[in-house]
Order: sequence, then structure tokens, then C-alpha cells
Amino acid sequence: MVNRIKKTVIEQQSGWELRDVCVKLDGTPVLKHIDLTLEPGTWTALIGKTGAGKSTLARLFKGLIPEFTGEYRLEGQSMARDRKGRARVVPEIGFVFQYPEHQIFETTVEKELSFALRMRGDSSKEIAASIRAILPTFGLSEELLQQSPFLLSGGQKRRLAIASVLIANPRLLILDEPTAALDPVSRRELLKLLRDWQRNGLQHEQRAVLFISHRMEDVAEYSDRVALLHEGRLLAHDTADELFLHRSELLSQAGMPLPEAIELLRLTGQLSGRALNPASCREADVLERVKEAWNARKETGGPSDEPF
Amino acid sequence: MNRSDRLLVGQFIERKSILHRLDPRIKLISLLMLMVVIMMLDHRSGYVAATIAVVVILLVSRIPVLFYLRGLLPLLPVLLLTLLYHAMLGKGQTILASYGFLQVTVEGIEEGIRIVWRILLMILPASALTGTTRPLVLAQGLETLLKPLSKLRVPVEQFSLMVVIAIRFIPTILEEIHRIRLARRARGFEPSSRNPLSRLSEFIPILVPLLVSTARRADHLTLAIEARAYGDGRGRTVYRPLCLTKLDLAAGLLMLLSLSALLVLDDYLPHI
Repeated sequence: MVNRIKKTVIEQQSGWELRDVCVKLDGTPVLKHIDLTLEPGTWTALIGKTGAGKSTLARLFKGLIPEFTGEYRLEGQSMARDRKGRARVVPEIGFVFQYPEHQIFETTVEKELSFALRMRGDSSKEIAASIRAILPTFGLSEELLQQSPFLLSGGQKRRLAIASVLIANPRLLILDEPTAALDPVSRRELLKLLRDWQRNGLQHEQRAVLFISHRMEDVAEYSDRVALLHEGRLLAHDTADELFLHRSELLSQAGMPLPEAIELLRLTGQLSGRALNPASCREADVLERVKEAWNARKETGGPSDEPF
Repeated sequence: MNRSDRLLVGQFIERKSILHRLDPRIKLISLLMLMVVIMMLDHRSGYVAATIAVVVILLVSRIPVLFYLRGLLPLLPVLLLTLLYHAMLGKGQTILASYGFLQVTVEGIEEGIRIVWRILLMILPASALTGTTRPLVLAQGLETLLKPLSKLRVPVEQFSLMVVIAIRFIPTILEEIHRIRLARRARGFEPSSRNPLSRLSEFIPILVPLLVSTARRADHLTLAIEARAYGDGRGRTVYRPLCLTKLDLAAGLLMLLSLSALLVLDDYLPHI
């Protein structure tokens, strides 16, 4: 009994919770009456068309939007405000901006990596240990530490910029299109790295991620939950499976495409006249059903060069 | 973007005034003449007349006075220093107070006021010029005025392209600064209080990444310009060529007449 009460209290206190939040930028409403809770341990994708308010919402969570109405509770605490009542930057949240490599500003790789830790007041011993721990994960070698970050290759720069945010071990990590302008292989590698980081946190850490992306394939592949923004309103906040497989009309309402594999699944379903219910919206699961439908067709003995 | 707008020096303000419609060359030449005449003024009466002329120019521009005053704000320390320098170190007979080698004299104060006044009389019409002329049009005007120099092998076209690019990239560089500051704040850097000195020192670590990215951008721009076969820029045409209208000629003539009048007045008005 006591345990259950304790658990409820913890659950109530955790997460990042927006209640009826409205934001105006230069007089234009950008976010309208947003109710959204990011839960610990979940990867939430934030999707919507350009100008729907995704970046503003992400910045709001980080405390980079000084003025807004409504309530924002961070893990049970009210948001810290300065004397003028404006929101303050939340140091516990990591934020990777668009084109992360443009956010590099220190003179050596080591200084770049340690910046957040120095600002937090870690000892030099702790800093050295953190750097040693994070380097191999991001494919960076120790010889690079004394180099200027501006001499690194494009991919290295991006990994360095993201590593410099992750090194502070944020409870919530916000990613604003971290894979923009990356080639497909690097994109998958980076997303997998971030996903592993999120999952490999210690049990009590329950790392959360807010992931802004335009690629529905990545959203379906990696997200637990999806928040869909349309013209400043939150149209849906659901599991990725529910949204992509059962409520896709909401996506088309917001002008967003379906992941390609799911498009293929729908087409196959229509042509075969079967209800194809994949285990999840992930590409492998979806293609599995598509393959099954093809195999089933072969067994019934239809001519193989004709459609269903 | 609001903050960076405020930072812009010599900002253009869209209004419908005669000054806005004038040809940039006329405005540039008039400004130059006005400055020369102001340098030549000897007497207080001349200063009063010049002040009236400058005030008229500012009023005709239809730009809020507040804009001009705000533009003067960053110059305030320089003006004050000039005033103090002349007041304390200037030579004169009527000594008001003295302390060691410092001597406050009536003549010194007068000289200080005169020089500060002169600076103001030159700066205000200059900001009227930048306030009423789009930067690119201004650069175009400058280029046409400097054109004769290309006979002397001065690379006027390249110089003007340089000016245009510099103007064009001011907002981009400001955005860059904003982005780096944001990145620093997002990783836990707390911008210090209201102490102006420590706020200034916040900009020093930004300089390195700013220089790097600006150099990189310049590199890309060079490639882009060369890829479009710009060459040395000679013989390039413009989309909207400048042409003088009757209004321009009338304004230029009016300026010439009033400036000559100013010089004559300075010598013949009863000296106050």
C-alpha cells in the first residue's frame, strides 16, 4: 500500500508537463493551448509541417522562450523564473540545435566537450573521466582532443557537437532535426547511437528524448510516442503505432506523409483485399506483413506477373 | 531578430519623403559639401545657421527624431571625452579652476562645446543619409561617383562589390552571433548580470567561431562568384540604373545655394 502511494507520487512528479501553454512571438500566436507531457524513459517525436511551431515548442521545454502563458512543470517543480518573471534556461535539459556542427565554439575539442561540465562546476578529474567515457561512443579518438574542432571533418564535427551535449548526461534530450543534410548511412548510424544512448541509461535515469524530424520513416522507426503539431495546436499525442497504423487521417489533416513502408502496406492491403495488421509501425514489421501477403498470393497460384 | 535590428548601424527607415526619393549621388555630394562647409565655419552665428539647416534636413526626412537620438547614444562617451579634454587641457586666460596641470578655462569650455557641436552637425545629416537611402542603392551611388577613378586603374567595381557584400552580410553575421550565444547558454553558460564590462567579455569567446565561420563563408562566396564568371566585374550592368530627375537637380541646386549662403552669413552676420 505504502509502496503504491510512493510510486504514484513519483509518477506524478516525473516528466515535463505543459498545461494550457500559449506562446506569442512578435504578436503572432505560435503555440495555442498546448497540453503535453513528456514522460521519462520515452522517445517522443515531434512532427508537423514547417511553421507548425515545432522548434518553438522544443525551445519552450529548454526555457529559451522567455515569455509564455500557462504552466510548465519540470519533474514536479515549477519552472524557474527571473526577477522579471521570464523563464530561465533549464540546465538539466540537453538541446541539440539544427545543424549541430554550427554550434561549436571552443578552441579545442577537449574544451568543447568539457564546456557544459565546466559550467556545471565539475572537478577536472570528473571532467577527464567523462571525456574518456564518451569519446569511443562517438568514434572520436584521444589524439583529437588538443586539435581545433574547426579542423575536423563534417561528420566528426556533428558527432562532437552532439557529444558535447550528451556528456552532461541530460535527463531530457531535445534534438532539433539532428540528421538534416546527412547521407542515409550516417543518418542511421547517428539515430542508432542516440537511441542506444537513451536506452542504455541507468534504470533510475530514465532518459527521455524529444525528437523533431521531417522524415516519417525515422519517426516510425525510433519513437515510442508521437506529438503532432498543426498550426500551433497539438493535434495528437499518441503512440507511434496508433498514429501511423490506425489514425493516419490525423496525419493527412496536418499535411504530413506516411512512412513509405506503411504506404506500401496500405497499397498491398487494398490490392489483396486483406487486412494487414503489422506488429508495429517499424519498417521491418511492416515489410514482414507485405511479404506475407505476397507469399499468400503465390500459394493461391495466381500468375506472378499480374497484380493481386 | 529585434535585437539585431537595434544593433544595426546606419539603418534604413522606410518613409515617404523627398529625401527618400532623391538620387543617392546627390545626397552623397550634398553631404560631403555640407561637411566641408561646417569645417569652414568660424563664428557662432554660422553655427546657429548651420544648425537650422541641419534641423530642416532632419525634419524633411520624416524619420522620428528618436531614431536620430538613439543613433547618437553610442557616441556619447566620445563626445563627453572630447568636451572634457578641451575644457581641462584647453588654453585660455579666464581660469575658473586649476588642479596641477589641469586648468578649466572659459575658452577651453567654449572650444569643447564648439567641437562637439561641429561633430553633431556632421553626424546627424550622415545618419539622415543612411536613414533615407537603402544600403545597396547607397553603394550603387558610391560606385558611380567613384567611376572616374577606374581610369587611374583603381578597382572601383571590386570595391563596390566588397561594400555591397559587407552590407548584405551584416544580418547574417548577427544571426551567427545569436546562434553561438544560444549554443553557449543551452550548455549551461549563464550570461552575467548588468555589468557592462563582463557583458562585453562574453563576446570575446564568440569571436573565434565567428571568424572561422565568416572566413569559411567568404571562401564559399568567392567560389560562387567565380563560378558565375564574374571576372573582375568590369562592364557589369545594373538592374535599376540611377538617373537624375528634375527633383534631384533642383535639390542639388538648393543645397549649393544654401551652403554658399551659409558661408557668406558666417562672415557677414553680426558676430554673436
